[in-house]
Amino acid sequence: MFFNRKNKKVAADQEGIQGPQSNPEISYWEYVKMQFKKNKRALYSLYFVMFLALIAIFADFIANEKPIMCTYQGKTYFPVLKQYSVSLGIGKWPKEFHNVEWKDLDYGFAIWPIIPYLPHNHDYKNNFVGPFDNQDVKSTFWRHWMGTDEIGRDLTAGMIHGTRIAFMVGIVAMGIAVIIGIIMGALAGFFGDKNFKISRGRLILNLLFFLPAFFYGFTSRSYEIGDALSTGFGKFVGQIGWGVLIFILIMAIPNVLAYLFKKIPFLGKKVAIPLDILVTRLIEVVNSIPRLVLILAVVAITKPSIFNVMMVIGLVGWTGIARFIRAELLRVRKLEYIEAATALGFSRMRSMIKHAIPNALSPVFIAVAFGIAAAILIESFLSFLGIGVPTEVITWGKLLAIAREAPAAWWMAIFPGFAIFITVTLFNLIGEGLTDALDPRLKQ
Amino acid sequence: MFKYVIKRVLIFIPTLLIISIVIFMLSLAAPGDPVEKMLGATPEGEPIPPQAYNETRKELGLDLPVFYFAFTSKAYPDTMYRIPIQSERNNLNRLVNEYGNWTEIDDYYKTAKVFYNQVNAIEKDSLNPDALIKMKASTNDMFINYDDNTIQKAFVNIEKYASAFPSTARVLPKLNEVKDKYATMRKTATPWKKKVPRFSWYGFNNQYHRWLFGNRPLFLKKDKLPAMNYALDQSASNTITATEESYHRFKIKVPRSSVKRSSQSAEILAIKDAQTNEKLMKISYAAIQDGKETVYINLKKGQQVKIAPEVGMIDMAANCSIKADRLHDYNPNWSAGFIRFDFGKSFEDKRPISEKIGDYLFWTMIISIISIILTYLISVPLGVFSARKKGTKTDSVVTTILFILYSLPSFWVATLLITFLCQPDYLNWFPPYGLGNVEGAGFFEKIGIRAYHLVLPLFCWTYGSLAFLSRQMRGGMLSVLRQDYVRTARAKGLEEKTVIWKHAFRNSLLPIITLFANIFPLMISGSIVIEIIFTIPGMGRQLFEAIKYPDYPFVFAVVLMSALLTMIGYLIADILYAVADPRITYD
Repeated sequence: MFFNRKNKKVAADQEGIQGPQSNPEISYWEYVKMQFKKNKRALYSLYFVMFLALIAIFADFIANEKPIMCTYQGKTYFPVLKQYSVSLGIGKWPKEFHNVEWKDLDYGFAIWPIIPYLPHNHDYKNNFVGPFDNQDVKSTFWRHWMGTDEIGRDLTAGMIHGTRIAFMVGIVAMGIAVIIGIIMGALAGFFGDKNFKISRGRLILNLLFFLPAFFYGFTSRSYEIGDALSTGFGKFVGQIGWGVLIFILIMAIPNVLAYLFKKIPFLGKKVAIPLDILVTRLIEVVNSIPRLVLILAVVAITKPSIFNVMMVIGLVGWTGIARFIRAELLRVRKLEYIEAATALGFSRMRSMIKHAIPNALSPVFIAVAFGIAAAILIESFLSFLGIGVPTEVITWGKLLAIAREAPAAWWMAIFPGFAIFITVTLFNLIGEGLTDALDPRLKQ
Repeated sequence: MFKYVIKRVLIFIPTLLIISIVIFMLSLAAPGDPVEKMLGATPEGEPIPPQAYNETRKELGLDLPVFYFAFTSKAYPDTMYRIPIQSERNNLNRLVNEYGNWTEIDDYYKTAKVFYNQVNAIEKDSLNPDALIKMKASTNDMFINYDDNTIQKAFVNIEKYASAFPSTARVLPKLNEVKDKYATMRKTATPWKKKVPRFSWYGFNNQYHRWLFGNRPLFLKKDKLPAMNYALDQSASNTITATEESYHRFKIKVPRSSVKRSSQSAEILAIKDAQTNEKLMKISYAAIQDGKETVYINLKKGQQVKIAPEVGMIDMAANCSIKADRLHDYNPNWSAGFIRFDFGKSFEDKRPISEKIGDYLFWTMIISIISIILTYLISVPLGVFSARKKGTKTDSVVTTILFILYSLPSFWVATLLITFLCQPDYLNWFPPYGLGNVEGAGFFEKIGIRAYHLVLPLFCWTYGSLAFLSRQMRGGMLSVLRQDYVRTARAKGLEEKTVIWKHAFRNSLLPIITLFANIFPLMISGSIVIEIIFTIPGMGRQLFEAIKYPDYPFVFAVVLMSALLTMIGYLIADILYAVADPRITYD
């Protein structure tokens, strides 16, 4: 398409060396991919992150107290898979597996995970054993490869399941941040201070309806929403979604009514809403409170929950993305293809969503890569301090915190910290690679 | 330029107001009853006496409405804030949320409270201990819950236990009354009222306004009593007689050198009633640490007071001075507000938070300033060096090291350093915590001890920002070196040294200037983890302790203060930038 070609040309001009001109078939994104692949450090970081993501997804199959598959008393079971159905409430454990030590059962045949422990399993015989110490275990298979903590919990299992938490925090927090950031940044950047025009009638009606809409959507249901937050994340999202739905439905009324008022000359006159000023002020407000202090304060007053931590990190972390998008759209909105779309009679909203935003997304990828690194770092920091993350959840930060109480256990200090460091570094490297690939100007 | 500064400052004010509202709302969401937190634990879980509860509530300003206005539903009475006890207020809110008929709810709850007090007043005797305990528990369940199931179950249980013994059966008629009222409340429920919005305006005398601006007048109305400079010996006739009932303010000055024993809790002075010799106010060393203390005492007409030093605590000959004022219409519950540096009192030790912050800020500031100086001293030349050698092996080594340092989480590095450098198991080179004991050491010896203890914390504190700043410096230098004027300078035949330091360096400093803005909030918060790990008594560690305690007034005071400092930092950076670069214009 037209705008793709434009971007390619810009990129090629600045790159100065063999650009896509030599091969006009490829699209902008293919070109970016090509550029990214040239940066070997970033490329291998991406592969490694994918590998870590696989560990995070299949953590239950890699480190688990139950066998993946076993025959017991003549029957065949898949205990790890069964666990999923039990925790979803579909299945039930057969009687012979109630309150058993899985590793002591007499199996006919069993396929065990590589690490036959869960992070919270206690091995009373092996408290605080190092990776190279003598361990009191049945065979080499049952060894604690990275050692154990003061109550015999296997560090390797903790590390593997911690990967899942770290990735979840990074992805969920950044997901929230991206949604808010793109909406805010796009409104500010694309419309600026002068281009978002609505009729006076619509403005007045919207202002009038805002309070009731907010009242019926949220204020009158505040206890329901509050209760949902303490029961679970899913319920909370449901309640909030329901509130948003009511809000939108009520706000639809003034916008339909506004068509009727259009004919009245005074109310029909258009006024510009300074969206850019509003959004930039909001960004300034959020940025003015030091992020870490704000997160600490919010986490201090909420119940310890990993979802709260993710939400808080996301809710304060959107400003960077919004600024990127805003800056990019300030540039994009002046390009010919937006003018062309306007000339063709498309609404500005449509030009923004269909044409402008997709072309301004590239800096978002950079911000997301760095943002995931920051989110993981903040989460490990919080769990290292023991604030906000519930006691039963085992994370890298918590494992590292154990080392503070037991300085002799060097393995507790090295492995979890190294995992945090490596993951953060990998995402930072990917971010750098993306910066170079997406913005060749910086590469000269 | 001047116009820009004015405009920038004007923007600053609404932003600060919005931030203060956000932080105030957050502080409202803090769990627990502030009054109970402030009063601390009562012995053996006894209930707090209502009078003490109400006094503390007034002192904290919690008897005021929360905000200038409220936007709620018709079901809630607009005087809900006057219900003193927070748990009861919350439960009433819940009941309103369920049933919506305030008069009946209020009626039910008042009767329930009478019943609750009646049950709790029943004395244990030889017959009824088990039943009584269970009955009290059920009554409590009834009183603190709002959902129908729990309350009905509690009714059944109370009836069962109460009818067992004559001493407990006394309350049965009242119980029936409660049940009746409860049934009426449920029957006449008007949940539709919850769906009718209502707006109520409370005016400026509210909790938020008091918290931010304070409700204490700028100038106190006062009469100056004759200035008195006492040598604090017992024999002097240093008494003040009140001519009418009013609050008196005593400003006491004690030279530090005259304090003989300096334990924090030691009581060094007391204000006594001259006739009865009763101590009206005790002044401890902790209160008077910087030599000054102001106390307010309400005196009755004709009451005489004198200032009496504790025996052996103060050098009697020292020249302590006391200034006394008589205040008119003084209210001890006034707050000066955040903008006048009154952040309220800490839950933990009931000390004014501004004083506490003053204490803890010292080490944080010392370490921050050293760290900032070190960062700039190393990173600026390093960045320039690395930019000049761009493309060489040296550059790539430096860049890689900086990148790794930048990604290394400081809490990991600190943990590793403590594990491997501060333990007898491995290398025992540095002390693992604290700032060392300097008692009795000479000046240079003191500095030596402190420096030795600060090596590792300083390293952990500095390396991250060092790496960040060096990378910024390198980037800035590289982009400047590409500029035409640098090429021109080279083409003119200037020496490379002149080109770099005279033409390029100055311009590349611009982005570095703005980074200075981040230093202000760092002083308060940036150090949290390092201070915790190395046990340094600074702001960060105290913030962490406050979160754990939890001492919410301290936490939110720090949040608002760091927000304020950040904003001032941005303001200064913007102005500096405009001063430093004449090309920058603002519309």
